[in-house]
Amino acid sequence: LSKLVNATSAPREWTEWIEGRVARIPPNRAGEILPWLRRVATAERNKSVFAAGDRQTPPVTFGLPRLNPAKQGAAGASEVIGIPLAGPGFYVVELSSPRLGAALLGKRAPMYVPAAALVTNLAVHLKWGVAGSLVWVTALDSARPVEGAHVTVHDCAGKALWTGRTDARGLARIDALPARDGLPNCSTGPVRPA
Amino acid sequence: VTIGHLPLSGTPQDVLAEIEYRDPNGETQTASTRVPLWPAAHVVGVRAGDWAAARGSLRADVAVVDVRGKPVAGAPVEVEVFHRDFYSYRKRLVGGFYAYEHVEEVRRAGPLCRGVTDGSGRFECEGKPPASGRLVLQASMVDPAGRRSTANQEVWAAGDDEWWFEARESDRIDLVPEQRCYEPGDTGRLQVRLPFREATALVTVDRQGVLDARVITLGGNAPVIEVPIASAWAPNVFISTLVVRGRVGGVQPTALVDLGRPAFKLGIAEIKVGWRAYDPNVTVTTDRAVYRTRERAHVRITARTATGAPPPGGEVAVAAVDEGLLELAANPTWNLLDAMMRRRSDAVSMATAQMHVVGRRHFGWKALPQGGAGGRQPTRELFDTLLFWRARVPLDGDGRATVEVPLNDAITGFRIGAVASAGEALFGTGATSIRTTQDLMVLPGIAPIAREGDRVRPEVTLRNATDRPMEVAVAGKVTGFADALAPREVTLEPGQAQAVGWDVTIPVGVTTLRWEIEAAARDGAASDRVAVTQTVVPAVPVRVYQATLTRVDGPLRVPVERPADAQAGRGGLTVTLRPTLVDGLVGVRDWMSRYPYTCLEQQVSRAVALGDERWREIADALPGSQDKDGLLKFFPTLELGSEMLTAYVLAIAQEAGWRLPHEAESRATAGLRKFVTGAIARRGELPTADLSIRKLAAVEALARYGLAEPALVDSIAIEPNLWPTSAVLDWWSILRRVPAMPQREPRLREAEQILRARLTVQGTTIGFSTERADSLWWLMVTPDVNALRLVLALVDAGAWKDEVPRLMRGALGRQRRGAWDTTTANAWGALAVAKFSRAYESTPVTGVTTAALAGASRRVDWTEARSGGALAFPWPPRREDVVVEQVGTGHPWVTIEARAAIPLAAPIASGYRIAKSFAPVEKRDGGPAWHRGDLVRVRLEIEAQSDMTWVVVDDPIPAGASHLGSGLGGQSRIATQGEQGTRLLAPAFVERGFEGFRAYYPFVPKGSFVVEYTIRLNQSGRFELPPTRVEALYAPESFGELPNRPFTVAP
Repeated sequence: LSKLVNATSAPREWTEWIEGRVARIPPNRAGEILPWLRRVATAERNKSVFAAGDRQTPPVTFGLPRLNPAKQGAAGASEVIGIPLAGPGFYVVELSSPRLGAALLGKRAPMYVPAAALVTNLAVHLKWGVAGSLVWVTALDSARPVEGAHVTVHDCAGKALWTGRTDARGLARIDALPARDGLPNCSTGPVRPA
Repeated sequence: VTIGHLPLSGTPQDVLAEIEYRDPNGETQTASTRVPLWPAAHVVGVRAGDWAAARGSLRADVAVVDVRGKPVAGAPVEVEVFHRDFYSYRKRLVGGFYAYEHVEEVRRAGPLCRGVTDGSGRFECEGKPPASGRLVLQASMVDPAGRRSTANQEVWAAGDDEWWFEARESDRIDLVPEQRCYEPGDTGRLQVRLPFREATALVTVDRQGVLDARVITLGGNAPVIEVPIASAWAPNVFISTLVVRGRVGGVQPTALVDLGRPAFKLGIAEIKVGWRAYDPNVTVTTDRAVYRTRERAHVRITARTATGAPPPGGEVAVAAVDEGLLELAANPTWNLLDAMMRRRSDAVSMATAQMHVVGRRHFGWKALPQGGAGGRQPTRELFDTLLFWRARVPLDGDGRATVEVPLNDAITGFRIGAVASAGEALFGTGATSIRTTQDLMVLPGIAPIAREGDRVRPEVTLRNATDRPMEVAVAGKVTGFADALAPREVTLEPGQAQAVGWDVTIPVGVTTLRWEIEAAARDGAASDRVAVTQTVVPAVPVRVYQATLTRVDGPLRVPVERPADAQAGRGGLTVTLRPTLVDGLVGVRDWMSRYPYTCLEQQVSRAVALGDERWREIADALPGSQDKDGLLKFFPTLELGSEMLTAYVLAIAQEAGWRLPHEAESRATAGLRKFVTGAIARRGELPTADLSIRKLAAVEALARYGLAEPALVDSIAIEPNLWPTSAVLDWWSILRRVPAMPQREPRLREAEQILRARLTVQGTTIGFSTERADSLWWLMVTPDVNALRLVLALVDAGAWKDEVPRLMRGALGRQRRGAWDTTTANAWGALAVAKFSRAYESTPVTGVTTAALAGASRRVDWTEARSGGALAFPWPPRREDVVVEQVGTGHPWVTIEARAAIPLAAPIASGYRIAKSFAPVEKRDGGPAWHRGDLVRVRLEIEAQSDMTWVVVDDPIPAGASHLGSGLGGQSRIATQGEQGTRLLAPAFVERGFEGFRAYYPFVPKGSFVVEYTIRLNQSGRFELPPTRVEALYAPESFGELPNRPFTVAP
């Protein structure tokens, strides 16, 4: 980004060249996270990750802050800016720029850079055994166990295998999860059945 | 024997010593022992007590014993402390790479204590360690002669302040159990090397699943977890601790770095749990220690649990086994509990989503500790020396049982073992040994095999077991010899043994020799008589060198002549007449029953072609030949299976109407599916672009079991015109068997057209226009296989009805010397012919068939002999015609086989050039002659002219010689050191038999390689040797042969 800014002879406001969009998946639709993660992982630079058109999660354009003028101009200068993500949930953020597209894709089309982020205070840990598995949920800030957390175990194709709640110690015991051979095989390509 | 210049050492060492002796069986055996080499007359040991949670002080238990294990009182000992540190640092290398360097530093921190051992040889001391952290306790003592002995143990000692363990870059921490082994009821203490001041910990006990879980809070002042050990955890469990730390207050995150972010670490430790509670004590006693042959031994068995009570409802399995057998290989299967208590793997993997939020490397598979052992199948195969076996003998209320063991004729030691079990959790083992003896013994030292024409000196050993001298007359006769063995007289002192031998020449034309040796004392007080059967194998085998299989449609004339170089008086002509073709496949059955090699494909093909009971045995053993994905392996000792072999076995078993064991079948088909869908990959032995062809063969096999659906061929480009004929046949079979195939009808027509277009009929044989490209030896496919599978498929599909008989005859015309080229071709051929006979041969044969040669005439009358007959003729003195005529209905099948024993005069190198040399490993003298007892290293240098898969090297050894290096007991480990093979070219399987050495190679590249093995010459004489042979199993035109000169061994 800084290279792009530096490369321009006219020091215009950089936000004119870049558009930022964000989509939020609230905690009650956690099942959609997996397809989104795969979509972000396989995203291409010349196509928007939102292009598939998901009506339930319309992306919202957000304003980009101005850069600190004091840091401008120096060779190799860079600045980290914050993107506001309000409330817990799963966020897909995408920046797009026709200017970057012209520079890197070699045609007059925008280039897209997506990323995904999870906003939560919960950490979930899984111990997966042949006979008997265990889920433990802790709070990230205090590292204390979390009671009554909803836990769902999905396979990578999105099928729910187990669902339940944690006890006072933050634990949820699962008697039988399928073994690794019995699970579908999903890399970034199409999902392959077991 | 005196060994000087022993190296000095502070710790005990072992000296491995071997001696060689000749046993009464005529074999040279090696006995070995380990002699401990002690550093001093007294040995010191040290153990650190309760260190995990101790603070400020350290306890050391020191014990001193002498070399017999007796405690030494009043010995001065000293305990010193060393401080041990490891430093690891990262070093930047040229090109932006990094390397890690590790340095260990050990420095003396100071003494802990010194003192004198008490009456039980022990000394305990406690003191403040001169340092904290990772320490090494070293106990040392000096014996009265001034020699020093030391021992050490590493401990971790806490200082007075908070314990602090450094945080490392990885997400692992050390979890250190105070002891490695615990008994049920103990409390295990584990130190968590916690890099946090405070953390919440999930402590789980894992083994194949989560057995127990607790959540605790750990503090930096004593991060120790305590785990009560349950008896169900035997033999081992994994204790795992996941510690999580929350956000550290007071450190604000910045945009670039978040030093106070939440963190986690994982530690796993394995502890062993004792199984004393499951192990009852079993004692076995007999009424005497020494018996005479054919007496009865009374055996008493008593079982007690760990608490001393009799096990409720217990029973024992009792076996009496020749100890000689156990000498060769110990039998660990008696230790049932050991087998059940084999170390279990963790099989719990760990994942955390914490890094999704706080950004950290994730560690799914890495959370697995190294896996445990498992799955070794106890195999019991040799029952010959089993004297007594009773699976269930109930124990009475007092935990006792009595059995009577009838002894046999063997003069040996027997081990009587009792394996006790009670309920589902108590398993114990006990054993005792008895001996059988008699006053005069004849111990035969006659080799198990001999070759025709060998000049040998077999020996028997006579032993006088009494305490008075004995005059003994020895007589013997051998069936197969014209004269009885010359009688001998020997005088034996008390306890003396003496060998008696006879010089004999093994006759030609016998298959076994039965030796009967009788010895009797002059005074008639003692006698013994033994009989031994010896197998005789030919040095120059009689082989079919020409064969004709045809239908008698009119008078048949076949010219025959004895080959000029054939041995006189052996071989001849056989005219075999059979009513149907399936019975007429004499040559194939003969070829298969003589086939020497033994990989799984060859065993299966043999069973198919011979159609006998062998299949049951092979099928039962199949699970042992499956790899982790269910694919079948050529040899059970290989790691990975082959998809082509699996497809072949499944297909031919289905075609033959045989079933695999259910479990093996479902695993094999599942493995093939995984291969086809790409879930598992198998590298072909020959790197070539044949994946589509291999996948088609796999789908074809699956289709035979109704397990193929159209989606399986999605990953294969359908280009039948470009495929080799075997793949087109597979494709045709898939289309016929899977009705749901898209565009099935046009594709079926296309496949059939391609086959018809490629088929060529020349005279009496058929072939394919693509034959040159169809020889896929690395996939076990030859043009013969294709021709036979085509006939089989046509009979199956009911297609080309008018042409099938002609094609069948054409396929028969491909035979050479009465058989097709490979094992797979002969197996498919046997099935094709059987199917053809059922469909096309219905006219019964009647009347009389006559065969005439050089004036002699023989006949088969079909009214008397429905199944035909075999007519034998000797070789005519000059070239003559065999004339076969049939009078009556039907057309019998005739096989005319010419057999001759043709010695190999010069080496043949049709793909492999062999050079053989002998080198002494151990030799009685420096002269050129070999002597009995010498060790010979045989070296074969083989030059391969092209890359080839599955090559076998078959080298004969002199009769009576024994192999070294098989790993059985009684063999020298020192003598086989330095055997050479090419390291990159390891055989998949090595057979060390009485007849010779055989090594099977999955892949032999073009170039030279070396095979070496070591044999011991146990017998003197002049030994005939058949040729050494190297051959490619699936490309029969590639082979090499080297004639061997007779091998002479001086006494």
